[in-house]
Amino acid sequence: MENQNINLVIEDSVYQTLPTNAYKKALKWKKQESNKITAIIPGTIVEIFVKEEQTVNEGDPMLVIEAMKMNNKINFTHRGIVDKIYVKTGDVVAKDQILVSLR
Amino acid sequence: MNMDQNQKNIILRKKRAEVMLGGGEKAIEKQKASGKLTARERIDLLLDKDSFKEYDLFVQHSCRDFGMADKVLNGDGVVIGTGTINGKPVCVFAQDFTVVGGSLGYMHAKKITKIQDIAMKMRVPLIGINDSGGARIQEGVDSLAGYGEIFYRNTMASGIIPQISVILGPCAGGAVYSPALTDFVFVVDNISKMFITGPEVIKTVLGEEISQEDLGGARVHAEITGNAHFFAHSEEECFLQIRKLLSFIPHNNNKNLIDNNVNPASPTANIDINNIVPIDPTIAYDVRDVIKAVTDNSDFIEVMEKFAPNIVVGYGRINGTTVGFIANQPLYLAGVLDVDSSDKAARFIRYCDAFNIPIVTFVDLPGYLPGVDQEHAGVIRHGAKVLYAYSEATVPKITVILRKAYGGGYIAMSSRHLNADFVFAWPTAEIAVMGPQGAANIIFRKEISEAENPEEMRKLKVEEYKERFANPYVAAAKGYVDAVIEPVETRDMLVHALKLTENKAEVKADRKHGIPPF
Repeated sequence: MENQNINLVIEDSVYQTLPTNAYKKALKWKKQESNKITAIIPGTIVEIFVKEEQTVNEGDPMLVIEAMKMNNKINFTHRGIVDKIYVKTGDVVAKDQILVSLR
Repeated sequence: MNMDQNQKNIILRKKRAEVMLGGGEKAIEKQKASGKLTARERIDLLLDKDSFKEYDLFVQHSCRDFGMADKVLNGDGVVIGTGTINGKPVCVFAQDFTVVGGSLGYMHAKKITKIQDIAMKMRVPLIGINDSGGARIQEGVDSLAGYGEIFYRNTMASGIIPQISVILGPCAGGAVYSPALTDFVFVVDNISKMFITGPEVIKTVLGEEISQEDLGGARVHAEITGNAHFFAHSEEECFLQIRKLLSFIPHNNNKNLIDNNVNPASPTANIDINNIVPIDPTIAYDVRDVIKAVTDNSDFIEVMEKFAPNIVVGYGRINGTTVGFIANQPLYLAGVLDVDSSDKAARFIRYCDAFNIPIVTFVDLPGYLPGVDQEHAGVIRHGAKVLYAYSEATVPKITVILRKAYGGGYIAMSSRHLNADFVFAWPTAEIAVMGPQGAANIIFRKEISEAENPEEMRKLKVEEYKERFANPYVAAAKGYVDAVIEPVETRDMLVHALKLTENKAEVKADRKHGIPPF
């Protein structure tokens, strides 16, 4: 693939230059949606500790995902009310799949 | 019956031949089928013809578990010895993949540490050819002990002898840390594979499917991770690269060692040094042309060519003396410093300093790369490595500012303020706190916004700023630049400065070691 010139702006000056691989691959930054809790690894939901509408605090247990023969307990990282639970016990979840949302 | 000497010799020859067959005909065939040479073929190609002397040929493994006691593993899966490259002695080991996949058991490791110890004691370079499936599981913790003892020696030898790692097969798991601790890692397309956890584990744990090549192939390490310093298309090309590198760099850190110097020669490239750098600071060019315009025979060996190409590092000779070049490369990302280029430059500077190689820096950069990803990737911490490495280095440091030298980038690139020995600037140099556009927009904000025609006013003010500050003379007036020189005078100035700094003495404060930002 031909590497094409880009216009790189630094301190209001426009430079015509080639991008590097790392520059092309850099991810655009997105604000984290802290109210949507997603699976950090793929696995099976073995236990859910909360119900919808329940008030939770930072550190409260949310659920357990079994992955690599390990039971990984996931805790809430901040306070809120459980808005919706998207999974049930026994579900196999993919990485980044939404598990629980808070409001 | 008494044997005579001849008969004894014949027995030795037979024994040697047996062991030198490694894992046997079938395994050798398999090695060839996968496009790889055998361990001994590799050594023969790397070293001067017929110079290799092998040691520990008859070493046997010591494992007694899992039915290993009865197994004979020729050479225990690794070949060690000494020879010469360009007539100078070197130590070498090569893992033999044909013997149980080149797996590392304790005696295998003992052989490697023996050759490491010899290299260190004799102060000669060590070249390690890696082609191994990893730890020999049957040997358990002994295998781990072996790795640890290799890593320890890699670290102790760092900065004393050049250590070169050649990845010619798999190098996975803990094994990757020996190459990572060495100075130069060579990889070959389609042959080298390096990773901590392989595709299988990644698939089970994360559900991500990726091939060995895409995860840790030669291109990945040469272009993306920066783990590899030299990329070759074939093993043969790779060995030539190593031989060339070793012709440039000193073979140990003895300050009085000058045997890497050769007869002076003039640059040969058909390059007009006056016409390489465009006057307009936003237009790109290839800074390697400047390097080739000043080096003997226009010869330049670039290190980490494909990784962070926005900075160029490598070796060339000026009047016979090996010099480490560091140059911003406007061709890529306008030559900015960023996370990767900072890391690349800092490590190169420290290598030069450790081995008494003078540093010549060519400056042309607008500053640091803006962006959330850069800030979050720690451009502060990585950028600081450049400041640290330049400041700490006591080798001759000669800087030539070709064009842009703005803000923090100016300071970082071996400025007078970081104790450069000589700073020269071309008439095209723009040494300023920032680029004219940005500076005018800040300094003349009020005039611009209140003008009847703000765009006209902006242009006027940018011109005004350029006229007054975008030149080498403001810095020269303060003595921050020692001389403003014409491009054609560059080589002469470098030759003289290198002569002058040959016996440079700098007193370092007594400390155990500094704490660089890594």
